[in-house]
Amino acid sequence: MRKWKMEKKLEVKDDGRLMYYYEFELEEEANEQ
Amino acid sequence: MSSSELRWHPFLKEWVIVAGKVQERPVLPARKACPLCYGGVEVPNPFDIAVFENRYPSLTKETPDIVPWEDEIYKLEGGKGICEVVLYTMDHDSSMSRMPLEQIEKLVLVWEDRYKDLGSHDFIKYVFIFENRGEIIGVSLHHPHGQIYAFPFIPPIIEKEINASSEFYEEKQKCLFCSILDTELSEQKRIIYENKYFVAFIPFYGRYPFELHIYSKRHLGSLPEMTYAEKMYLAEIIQKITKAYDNVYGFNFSYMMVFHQKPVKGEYPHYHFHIEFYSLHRDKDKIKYLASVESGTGTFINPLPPEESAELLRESLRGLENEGKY
Repeated sequence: MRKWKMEKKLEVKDDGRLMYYYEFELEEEANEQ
Repeated sequence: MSSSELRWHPFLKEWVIVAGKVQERPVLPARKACPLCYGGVEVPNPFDIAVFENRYPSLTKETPDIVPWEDEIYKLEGGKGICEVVLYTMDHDSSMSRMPLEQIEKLVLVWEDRYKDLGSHDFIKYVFIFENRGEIIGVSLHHPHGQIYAFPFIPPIIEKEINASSEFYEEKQKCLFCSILDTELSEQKRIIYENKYFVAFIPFYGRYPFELHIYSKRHLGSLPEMTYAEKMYLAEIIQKITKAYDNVYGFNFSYMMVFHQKPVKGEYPHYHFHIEFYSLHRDKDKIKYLASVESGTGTFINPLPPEESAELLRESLRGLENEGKY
């Protein structure tokens, strides 16, 4: 099973709306247990 | 009118959202003008998965410029909420059924984060994750994406499910959803697929052709209650089902995919996480429209018996298996 590390970066658009960029890194192929 | 309003329906006893801003949404722009592609109007940077607040929201985050009022019959409030767009991938031509499993696994983690994040606002009572796919469903942009509506109230179908499951528990001391799952698993005739933690089946009472539900085997109310392994298996079953849909008639199957989770505030011990898919396809070249009877009476007519839908979907999965497509 893949184990993902997730990071979120926030940006504010010109009109004030929020935008989130999600980035992922594969940490390991983890055993389910 | 730019603000969103909630107007109370005195007969149905539910809110109607009136949102003029939605009228401005672009409809099926040319591919080169796709606002959801990298470099398009909404997405200045490359991304893996991105989420942004909808430019044309049905509910607005800023307090609407509306003075709430009510009289003997009518009631009006500002439609305060949050509407987000979730970009699944940079690949304009992809879809849930064609994305690698890795991408859907990431998406499940993003959905969980949005559920928690949006649910943390004091004015939000319900977080609704969904995807519309296909022009017959009303999709206005083809780029693979879903949406999230964070509501200031609990929507009526969820409320009905909460009430029905609470009443069932009072009477039988067991979960209605778990009982349905036990029945379907013992009968098997409407089961499409199951993995270690989830089951996909056509409900006995399905209202739409090919209506399909995915239930968690464990009694839990929302994505944050899942173990990491359960979230990964949820991705797996979503991929399997959307592939099966596309293989039924050999074209991109239009559907609505809706997450039913417990409300974000309060205790709902009898509610049970599930995903529902609805389709309007009733045959390869026939559409089931929701017309006068459904709209005027609330009674659905499903022209495709659930057991037949189930067989068609199982056959579709077997076909994929035989071709080694998953």
